[in-house]
Amino acid sequence: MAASPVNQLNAHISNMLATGLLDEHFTALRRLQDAESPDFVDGLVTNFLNDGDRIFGKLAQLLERPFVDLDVVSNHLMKLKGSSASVGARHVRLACIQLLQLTSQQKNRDEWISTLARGRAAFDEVRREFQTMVQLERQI
Amino acid sequence: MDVDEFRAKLHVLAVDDDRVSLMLIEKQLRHCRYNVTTVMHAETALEMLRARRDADQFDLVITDVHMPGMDGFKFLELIGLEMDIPVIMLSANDTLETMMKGIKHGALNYLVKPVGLEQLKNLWIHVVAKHMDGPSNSINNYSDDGHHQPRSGDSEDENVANHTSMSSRKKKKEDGTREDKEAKRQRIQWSGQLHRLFVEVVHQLGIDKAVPKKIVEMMNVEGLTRDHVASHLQKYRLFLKKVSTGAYRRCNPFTDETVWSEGNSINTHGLGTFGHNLEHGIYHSSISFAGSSNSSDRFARMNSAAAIGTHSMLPTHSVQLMNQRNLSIPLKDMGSVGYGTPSNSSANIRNGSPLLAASMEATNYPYRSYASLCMSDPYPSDGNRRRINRLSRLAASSGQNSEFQNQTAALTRTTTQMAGITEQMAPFNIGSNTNSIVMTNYNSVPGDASSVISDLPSIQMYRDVMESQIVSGGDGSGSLLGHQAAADQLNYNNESLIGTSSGQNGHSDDLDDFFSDCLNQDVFKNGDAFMDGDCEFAPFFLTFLFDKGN
Repeated sequence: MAASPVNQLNAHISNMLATGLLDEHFTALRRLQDAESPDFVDGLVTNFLNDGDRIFGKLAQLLERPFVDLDVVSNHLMKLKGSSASVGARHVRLACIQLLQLTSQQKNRDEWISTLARGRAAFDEVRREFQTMVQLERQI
Repeated sequence: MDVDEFRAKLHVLAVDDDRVSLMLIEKQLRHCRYNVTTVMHAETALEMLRARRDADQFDLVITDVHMPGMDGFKFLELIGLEMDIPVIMLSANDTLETMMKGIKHGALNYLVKPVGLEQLKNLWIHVVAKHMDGPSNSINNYSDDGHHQPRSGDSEDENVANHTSMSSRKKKKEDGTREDKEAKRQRIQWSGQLHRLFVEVVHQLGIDKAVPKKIVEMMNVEGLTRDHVASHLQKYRLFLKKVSTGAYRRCNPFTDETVWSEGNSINTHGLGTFGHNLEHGIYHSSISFAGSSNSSDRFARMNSAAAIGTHSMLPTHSVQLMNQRNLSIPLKDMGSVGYGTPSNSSANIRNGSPLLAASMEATNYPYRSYASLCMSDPYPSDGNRRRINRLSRLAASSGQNSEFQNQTAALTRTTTQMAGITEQMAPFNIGSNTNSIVMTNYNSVPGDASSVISDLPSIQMYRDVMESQIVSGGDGSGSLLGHQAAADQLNYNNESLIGTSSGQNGHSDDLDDFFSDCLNQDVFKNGDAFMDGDCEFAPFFLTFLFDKGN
């Protein structure tokens, strides 16, 4: 028999935490949600996903140019690092940290690109999981 | 009142171009019961801050670092110049350089994302600490009123009755300590006359031999205790040191009609052993104030008092409390960072005097509060009066709060050297014309043992001086004091000192504002008028110059 929506949601979130996709900051986020702002977490997560998508798009564009402005790249990465940290999206945050290191060290392009790809994959993963979570929440 | 209730009175302005971060910080701050306003651009935030300069000003600003348009550092600088509200930086950037840069630009704290509720809950401390530096009234109210009702006569009185049992207990505990301190803390007003006497006595004894005990004996003033003299002496020594190391080169307002005209009564000290310690170069650059840094104004706040020569009474604990920040906010990472190499920079300072070298550890921090207290008391401007009242309301209603009392008591312990601060610059008004005269005379003073610098101190040297002075005077002032001073002083890195283009125009305005403010003794207008607080003794210093010039 199907678990209740609430249980499903909690199980899903536990899973995200267990896999390291999310960290304890996300748990703290959920505690902030209250009767006054029942959609707080959803709203935050949705914004994160939209903004993150935009940033990855910009990064890809920047990489296509012959000359890459590393400062602009760093700024984008820093923003993404901040927003991922704010929602507790751990894998994405870690990927940003790696990318920032590579950017400041001005490592070779290939390594940078492959790291970016991993970051993108992490982002896509958390996006899927978050979308599931939001759906589950809406069923409650 | 408990801390929650106090936070509920505070208004925080949060600035971040990332909507996710902004949404989160807003939620978190509201959860801590702060009142929050959010904006995504520093320019907008600045407009809001400017609009509220005279009423309903924010108590605290939390800002991101990397933002398009105006970045957090610039924003921070401008706030420091114009409003002097405490600013906290909040960023995903956790590199050493960026964090240090934030503090150097004046941030009182630097939080790394993601920030937790626990860190936000105590940000109110920065608000209180910042106001500690300022007008004395609020401090009177809440540090003195451990046992009785706040004097502000606000409706917060009823809050006073709502003690939690914990704060009542603590209050009782503190009462004892407070009473002990009362005896020591009897306020002394260092009038111009009293200070002149002090200086004369110190001269007679010789600066190296002038110990508080002897000074007190020789001064023979009823009610003047050794402690009063000790703290005053320390400040005086610091002043002399700063003067000789070029720290005052940005203090312009030393023209003092009063000194010239009636000045003879004060010109009797002679240079004595101090003469050679005084730095020539100082006044050269004072006129070039226009070119100096925006950020100099932050510390300028201190000096203006002196320069202006106020004669307000300074409750001792206002200065004591200035260190509150240190005790309450252990910014441990910043503690030893950035003070770099004090010994190295000392070497750069051309100053051979043992006295000066010895007191090199002093920070500007005490002067800051001291001078601002000097300035503040008798003639607060409207804006400032509101600020005073606001904090009185905030603080008075929490006057019974044990936390404040603890901090006050703690500060009292650690800052007894600062006790008995006062001002004495009474008769000195400021004008600009004597600068040149001062310079002329000064140039002719022969140097002595210590360094005599006849040209303009280099910017490099100045900065080195500042850096050396940042080394915290380890009396428990600790990391935060250090980096507050650092924040103030290290602002003078290259570009700052030379002045940015945006700053230059601002500076001529600053000068005009400053002089008119000085004449009106209303130094809080716009915060532009503030000068380096160390100039509190400067008018007296001037007398030496005049003497020597004769």
